[in-house]
Amino acid sequence: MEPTTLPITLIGGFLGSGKSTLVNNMLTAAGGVRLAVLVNDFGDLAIDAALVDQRSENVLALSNGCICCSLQGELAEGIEKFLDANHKNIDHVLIEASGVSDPQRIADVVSYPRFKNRARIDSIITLLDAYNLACGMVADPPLQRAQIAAADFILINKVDQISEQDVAKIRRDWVPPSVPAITTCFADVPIQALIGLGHADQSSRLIEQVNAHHPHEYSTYSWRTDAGVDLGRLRNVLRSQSAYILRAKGILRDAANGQLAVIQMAGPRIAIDFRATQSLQAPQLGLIIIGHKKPEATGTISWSDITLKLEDALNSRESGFQ
Amino acid sequence: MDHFADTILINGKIYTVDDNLPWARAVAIRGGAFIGVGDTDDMLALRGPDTKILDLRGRFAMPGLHDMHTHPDLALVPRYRGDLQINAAEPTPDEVKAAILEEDRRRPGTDWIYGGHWVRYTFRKEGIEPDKAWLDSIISHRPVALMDRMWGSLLANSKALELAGIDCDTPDMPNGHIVRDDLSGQPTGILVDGAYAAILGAMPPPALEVLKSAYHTGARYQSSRGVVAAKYLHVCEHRLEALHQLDNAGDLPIRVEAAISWQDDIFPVEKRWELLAGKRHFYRSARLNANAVKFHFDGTAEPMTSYLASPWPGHANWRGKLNMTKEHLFDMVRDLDARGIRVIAHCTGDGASDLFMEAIAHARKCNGHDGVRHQCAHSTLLSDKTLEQFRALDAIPEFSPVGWYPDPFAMGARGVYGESRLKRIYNIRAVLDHGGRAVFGTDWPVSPPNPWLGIETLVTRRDPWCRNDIQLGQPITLKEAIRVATINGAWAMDMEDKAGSVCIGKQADIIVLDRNIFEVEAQGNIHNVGVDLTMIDGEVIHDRLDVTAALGFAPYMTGEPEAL
Repeated sequence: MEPTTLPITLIGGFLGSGKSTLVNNMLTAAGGVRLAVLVNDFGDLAIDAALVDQRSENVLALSNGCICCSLQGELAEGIEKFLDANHKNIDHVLIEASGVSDPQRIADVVSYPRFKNRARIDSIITLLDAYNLACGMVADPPLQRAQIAAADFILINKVDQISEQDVAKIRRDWVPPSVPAITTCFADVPIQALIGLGHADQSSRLIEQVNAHHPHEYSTYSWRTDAGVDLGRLRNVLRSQSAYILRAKGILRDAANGQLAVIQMAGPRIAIDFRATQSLQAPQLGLIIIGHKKPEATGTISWSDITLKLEDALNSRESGFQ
Repeated sequence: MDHFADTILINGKIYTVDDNLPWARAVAIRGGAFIGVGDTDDMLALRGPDTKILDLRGRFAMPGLHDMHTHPDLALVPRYRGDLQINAAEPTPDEVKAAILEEDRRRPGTDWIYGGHWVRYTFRKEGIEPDKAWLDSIISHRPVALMDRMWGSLLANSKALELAGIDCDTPDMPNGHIVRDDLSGQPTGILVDGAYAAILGAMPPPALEVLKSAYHTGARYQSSRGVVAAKYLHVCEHRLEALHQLDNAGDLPIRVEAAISWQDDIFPVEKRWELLAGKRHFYRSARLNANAVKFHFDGTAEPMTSYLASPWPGHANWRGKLNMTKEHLFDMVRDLDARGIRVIAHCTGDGASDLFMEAIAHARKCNGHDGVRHQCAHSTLLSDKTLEQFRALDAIPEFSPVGWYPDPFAMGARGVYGESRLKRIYNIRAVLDHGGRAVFGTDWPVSPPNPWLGIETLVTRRDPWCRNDIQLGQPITLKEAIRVATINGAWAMDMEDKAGSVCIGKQADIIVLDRNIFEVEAQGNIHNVGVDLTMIDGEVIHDRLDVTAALGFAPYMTGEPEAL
């Protein structure tokens, strides 16, 4: 099953938080995922474009300013250009937002009707400069909070420079409870976990990669059911666990009407799409979930607990469609 | 003794904008008009027993300014409507809730609670979804709509959505979207960008007193900055009534041409056709007329909806967007031209202004060449062909300073036009070189209401605060800039024989400044000029230093202008 819409990952975060490093990590680790990158230069200095290694043929630098506010037109154009020319060659688009922009505004533009069925926001990743936050060197706090508010994942980056107590304080003071916040150095994260599940045919391989590289921090889980699911209840279950679930993806049958629905979860962003299933032939039903360890506990997410909750979503409004 | 002057201004350095006598030391005024312009001694010969004498003590004076594109209502209605204003920079959900409840206590009823702001972060931090259910839980019996801090999205309760007719069947707008629940398809209450226009459109028009206060404050401010005439673009029957009542009460301190919205670009105009059929004449006075229409012919730079003569950079076919057909434009310009109504068309792209000029040419061909002067608003990009046509078609090229100097924000916003177009942006130099009569409009509140910012940057095309070293486009001389802001504006109001320069027989509109703008370095020293005196029709409207009352004048207002 391949979604018809091109998934977009937005990368936000204040100046110097590590966005370009993350983009480079993603390009390096992309594996079979064909990534395109939109970068916006800020001002005349083209700082970000200079840092992004031009190792992908599809890197496009936007010039002349900040894509979130003044250059929405150019942003839209950049995305449209990709869709028109390259959509067959691209699996996924990364947009590195300006450090002084609110990624929500970019996400808003992607939601305009001109992109319907063509592109969608897969997730928004916001990086925090842990060192600066711990030292209290916070430039433009309202903007940084807006960047956090937009995030589906938060990377608390540069944690090697601060204490564990500082990390805990950053979590307490800055991170919303519903958003998975991963501590990183040099923005080193399992890229596959953040973007990989958009491509379901590669899911099992990506899960292997996640497990191979980060066995202690991440875990994967597969939940199979052919039964009809109360999708509203399921959404509530997933939502209640969003701080610990990086990604969930799968196809389920709606107990209310028997229709198939594609479920995509990225932190607190949960999309349920009935349209994308129309061409599916006898798909395997269920969810694949990547969790990460609870910050305050040594153990990982409790899959048995989740299973009970997910199965609870089966037990209501069972219909005759199964 | 009808040969005596009512008022004589002496010992000034008066730049008259009259080619026959560019500089004068004194003027004499009677019956609201200049009866003498010349040396102090010559003017004092017109002194009678009741003549008031104002000694300018060497100060610089010039004709009053004409700001040919403003929207004081849009700038100031929120202040007077009593919109909910939550003062915390990042209010918590509890603070937002308390402000709404307090507003409901203060102003009980079933009408709208509208205002701002809220921020996504505080909701997310507390794990609260900002949606209609949350707002409904606070107040459901009256419509509530709150803008987020960045004006990116509006949060509405169920009542507001219902009144705006927004439900699961409402299609998304091209420049925005209605956030919906994936499962139910119902709007969540968050309306992004263009989608919140439906909510604003469902709100009742501002009360008459609100509109009057907005226009009064706006006109007073404009007068205090030396403006004697302005165009208020986009009015409806309520706005005209407010202006009319101010005028009747003697509270319209500038001349106003009000342009009726041809379509509902900003707010609904219920009595548009009545007004255009003739009702507009009921508002007519020496200070007020509504013989004009305004509409948005194309879009703007940021969303790339300016309608260009050739495709946008990087696009094979996309040229931008027109808000009406070419045929609609041609028919309406011809029709209104024949009826003596000025057509003011927002044209930011050269494709739009080309078509507008074609429409004017068509009207001239049908109706003859002595028709109304139609106004090309903004004129952000102009083709060579259009540059030449302004003079031939007796049309008004109007520019707004929001983008003609390298303001760091404007540079980003205009950057989308691409490098080659950016060089031609706001090409006032070329318009003048082709014999066109450029006028300017602050476009307040799109840019600040201070006209001197525009005048300085016409001369420098540089940032007044030296925040960068860019010169954007071709400057014009100070004398040319003054003509743009005075006599050309009077011409754009069909008043060039009555106003716009200091010359015998014209209305006595004159302003006195705190510095001689010909003797200062333009960059950094004109935008902040102080206007000591504004006189219109020989009456002292604004007297910053409060010196004229003692001389027998009755100044309409004194002191420093209110900062807006």
